[in-house]
Amino acid sequence: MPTITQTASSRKIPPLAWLIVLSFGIVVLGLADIAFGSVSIPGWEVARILAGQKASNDTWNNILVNIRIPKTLTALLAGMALSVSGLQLQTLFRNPLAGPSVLGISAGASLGVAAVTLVSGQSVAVSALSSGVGQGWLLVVASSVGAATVLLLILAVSLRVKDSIVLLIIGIMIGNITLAVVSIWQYFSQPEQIRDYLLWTLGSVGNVTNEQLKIFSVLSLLIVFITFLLSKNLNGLLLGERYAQSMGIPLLITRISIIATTSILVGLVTGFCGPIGFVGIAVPHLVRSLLQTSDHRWLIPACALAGAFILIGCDLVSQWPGRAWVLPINAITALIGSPVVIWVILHRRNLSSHFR
Amino acid sequence: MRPTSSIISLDQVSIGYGTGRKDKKLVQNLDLTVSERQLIVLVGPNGVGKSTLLRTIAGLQKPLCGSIQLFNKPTNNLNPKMLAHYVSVVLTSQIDTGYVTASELIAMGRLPHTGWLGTFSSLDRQKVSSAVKQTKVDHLLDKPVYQLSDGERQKIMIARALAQDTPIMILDEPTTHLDITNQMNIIQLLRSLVKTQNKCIILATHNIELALQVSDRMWLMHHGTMEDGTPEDLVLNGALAQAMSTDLAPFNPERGTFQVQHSSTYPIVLKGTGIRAHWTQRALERAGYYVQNEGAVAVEIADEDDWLIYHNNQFIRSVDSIGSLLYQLSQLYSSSSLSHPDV
Repeated sequence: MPTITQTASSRKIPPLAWLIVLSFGIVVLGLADIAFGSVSIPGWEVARILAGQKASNDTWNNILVNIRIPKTLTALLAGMALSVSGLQLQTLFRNPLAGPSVLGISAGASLGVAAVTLVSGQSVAVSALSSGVGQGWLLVVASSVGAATVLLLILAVSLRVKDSIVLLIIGIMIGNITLAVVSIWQYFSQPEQIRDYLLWTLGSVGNVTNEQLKIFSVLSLLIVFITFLLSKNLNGLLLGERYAQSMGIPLLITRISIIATTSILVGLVTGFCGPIGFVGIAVPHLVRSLLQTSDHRWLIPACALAGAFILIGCDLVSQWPGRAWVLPINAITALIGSPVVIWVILHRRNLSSHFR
Repeated sequence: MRPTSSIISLDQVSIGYGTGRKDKKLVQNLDLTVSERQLIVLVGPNGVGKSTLLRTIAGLQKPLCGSIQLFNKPTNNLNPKMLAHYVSVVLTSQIDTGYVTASELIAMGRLPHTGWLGTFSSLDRQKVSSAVKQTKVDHLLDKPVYQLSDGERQKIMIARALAQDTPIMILDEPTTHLDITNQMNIIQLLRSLVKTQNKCIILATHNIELALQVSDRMWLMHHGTMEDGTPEDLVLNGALAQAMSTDLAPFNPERGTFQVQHSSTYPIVLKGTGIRAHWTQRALERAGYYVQNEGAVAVEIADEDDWLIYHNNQFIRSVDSIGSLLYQLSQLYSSSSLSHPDV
């Protein structure tokens, strides 16, 4: 159908324009996310605090500096990290349904967190804010180790299993086993520990302290930058591993780099915010269709921006202005993400030919 | 005895794939040397290890034992990037890559030559555009790869390998699934690359008749053995017939083709010469007649566009096509007592 393509390609917007649009969108949504919340703060006061001045009301000041701004920045970083991880996994496994949550990597992180919350015998997970910095980091390290363990397991299987659908199913099953272990563990745990763990699984971008945020932002930005340096290798993988190898891409190093960066990113986000679903799988698809390209030099920055945009948007929805309640962010990401996945499957004629 | 300036040399190489404790060896102790830039065609029945051999030479798979040298350098000492400067490949695996356009795919051939982020130099651009020119794919460049036909995609993949700018190109069944025009296009392209670009090209194919016409050298794999020589030598010494013939379609060394054996039950006489006689004989053989010198029924190729049918030297009728000739003959045989004693 040449006519359809011609119109499609003539309507194609240059990738750089999308990056600018997305950055602008992040600024707008981010400001809205900071300005609105269960406590209503006048716009000019928000502007004054953002400009570095004190607001007339100390409580407002406190809410913005210690709660809302870190929350928005956490959403930005988490969305970025999850989307870039999902993109890398989809390219590595050549599977459109790959993503941190589907392949059981988030489940691995959950196991790590469960190990901390259910064993330590004290309340740590409800809020890293209240439990002290040391405990917060324990969670992050535990969830990173859990994520890396599952990812290594899946990688080991992927060396033997070439069929990506089979690999995907194995990933889902490994995730199930991991969660089953967590369930059994919960069964023998104290109610308050279970409550901590369950609250953690709902996901939240509001539990990161300013101290933690510094390290979270440095680490995640650094690793997203490293994945950008891998974009040539990821492009080579588009033709499959054999072609990549024949064009001089070092396979083992590439695989290990993708797995290391992905598990640190997913581990960080899951440790700080809980297992946030669907962002990692849905955003790369949205970005590919928007940019109409498979070039990772564009896809990685665009995924980072789009992921940040969408997760800030989800956060805005979850704390809908003027309401006293805050919805769990996982519910919002699933509500937005699942239709995207269905749309991708229905509207991609070339879904199977997308990756093989 | 190995020439000092060999392009490819295999020394006591065994190929196959390891399955844990048991290695499945396909071919053992292979010695091969390529020292001229030629078009080498690899033929052999399914499953003898053609693809495995090609992948092993290209360094995509390790040999089970033995050593492979490209330009006198052992491949296991070469890192992937250096290897990619010597060999480019076109594999059988389907490639379908979302939004990648033909021009982006061709540009991927420059991956081993570019830096961290794959930024193009003017040399890279020049190599890509000359690859495009040689393969004549200018009109496809803006199309997404998934919209291309099989033949177009194959040309793009070859253009990509060309852009990679390697002295050795290895192609695994590049003409499979292609119609005869596209097959010829690709083969002509590869031949001209050997001549004008001084490339050494190894390709695997099942089209032996084509291979016989175009290859400078033939590698014939058969039951764990390898015959190496000019294709004509392999025909004359019977190696090709031995490796590839079956009872159903024995190799005909005179024609260089495999001929389907028909079970012929009815004798017939064919009078005439020329191309019409040739195709009439083929039709008769397919329909179950065998041509002999004496017999009750005869077909004569007339001067006009007619075929004349005789029975016991009596003119029966004339027909104007091979189709109606076969129909009339079948009527004749079934209506009379002409059926062969064997039937």
